[in-house]
Amino acid sequence: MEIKVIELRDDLARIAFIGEGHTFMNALVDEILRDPEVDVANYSSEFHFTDPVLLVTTKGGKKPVDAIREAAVAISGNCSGLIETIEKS
Amino acid sequence: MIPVRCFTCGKVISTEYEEYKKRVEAGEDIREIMSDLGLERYCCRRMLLSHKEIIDDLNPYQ
Amino acid sequence: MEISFSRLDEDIARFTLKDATPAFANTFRRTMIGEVPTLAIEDVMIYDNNSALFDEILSHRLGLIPIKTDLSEYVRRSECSCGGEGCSSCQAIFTLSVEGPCMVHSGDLIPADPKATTVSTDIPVVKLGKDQKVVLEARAELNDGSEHAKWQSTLACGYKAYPVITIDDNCDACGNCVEECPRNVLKIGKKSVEIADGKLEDCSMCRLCEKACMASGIGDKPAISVKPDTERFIFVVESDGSLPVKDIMTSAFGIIKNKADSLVDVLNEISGAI
Repeated sequence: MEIKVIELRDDLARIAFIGEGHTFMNALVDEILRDPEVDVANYSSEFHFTDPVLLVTTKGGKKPVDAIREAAVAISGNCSGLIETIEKS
Repeated sequence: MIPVRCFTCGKVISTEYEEYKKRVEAGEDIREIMSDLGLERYCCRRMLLSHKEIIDDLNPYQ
Repeated sequence: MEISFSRLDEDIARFTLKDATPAFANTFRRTMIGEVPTLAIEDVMIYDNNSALFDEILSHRLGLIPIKTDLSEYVRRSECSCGGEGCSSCQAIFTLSVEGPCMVHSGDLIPADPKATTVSTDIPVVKLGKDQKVVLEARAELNDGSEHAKWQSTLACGYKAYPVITIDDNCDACGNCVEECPRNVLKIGKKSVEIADGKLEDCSMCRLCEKACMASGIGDKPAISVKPDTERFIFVVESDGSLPVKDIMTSAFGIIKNKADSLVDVLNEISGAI
């Protein structure tokens, strides 16, 4: 996956995801928001052919990049678990 | 020619057209024929129901 | 998260996805429809066509024919080691040569790769009259449903929230809701209305039962209430035959997992650089 960091501060990250759409971004944002230390997680793309920009802000000193990474790890874990159950049945 | 797939859901419906036509001509109930052929959704059913075959009229003109 | 199948065939599956968020369920659905790759005819070289259909209509019809796909054997042309020129690992070639009068069927397409055949052999392509002839070479390639619907691996693919029907103690088993229910989910029990065996998943949450209950003059709250469970989803996935449903599901999860994994890798690189 290709990303472009637009803005990065201690409590804020603005990252563009090249070539992604609602399919992945919506699940990612939802997963990031489960973290109680995350204040805002939102994505938007100006037009439907432009790359979505993810905005994450945190409170309590957590790094926003860590919050995104943890969410991605959680999604990946969910998928591997589900692949296993499908292959067994 | 009958469209290959249903416009709405994408199910391949053209395979059933020949049998459908034959059975309609034999005077069977259209609803039963369609259910029999596995056309469950109304989007697929209208594909056969509303089709008018004109290929034989066009063929002389290439 | 958990998946339990209530039906799993080659080309249709019904299952419930438990402990998932609506966002994840929707991502799964969108991935199955739009991002699981299949083979479909993309380029057609027409050597001869004097049928009643124009070349472009003929190629469009050929494109819509589903082709059995082995995802381990083919890669996308843009990602192929041949650099997009076209080779045996990114293209499946078919030849067709028919002379009229007859009906040209999808079975007349002769595949170069015996594994990549058309799903059905009797899809009518064009009807030929006397002295009419079609000779062509078609190249199928791998791509996904977000590019064109001909590459979409699923037909009906969707989900609904699991219905939760609660019947209060003040139900007097008048049966108005049983009559009103268009899907016959309810039945009259001994003391109150009950859910008919195995019918719960048929409920469409139309809430006609709640209205009927109110209309029977039970008070200002209906004795029956229908609510969606936002953590359980009933999925229906139908395949067009190019891939078995099980493969569609596993490769959809694989695609989501790959995206998440590569995001983790990229983020690790970034935080290392700071």
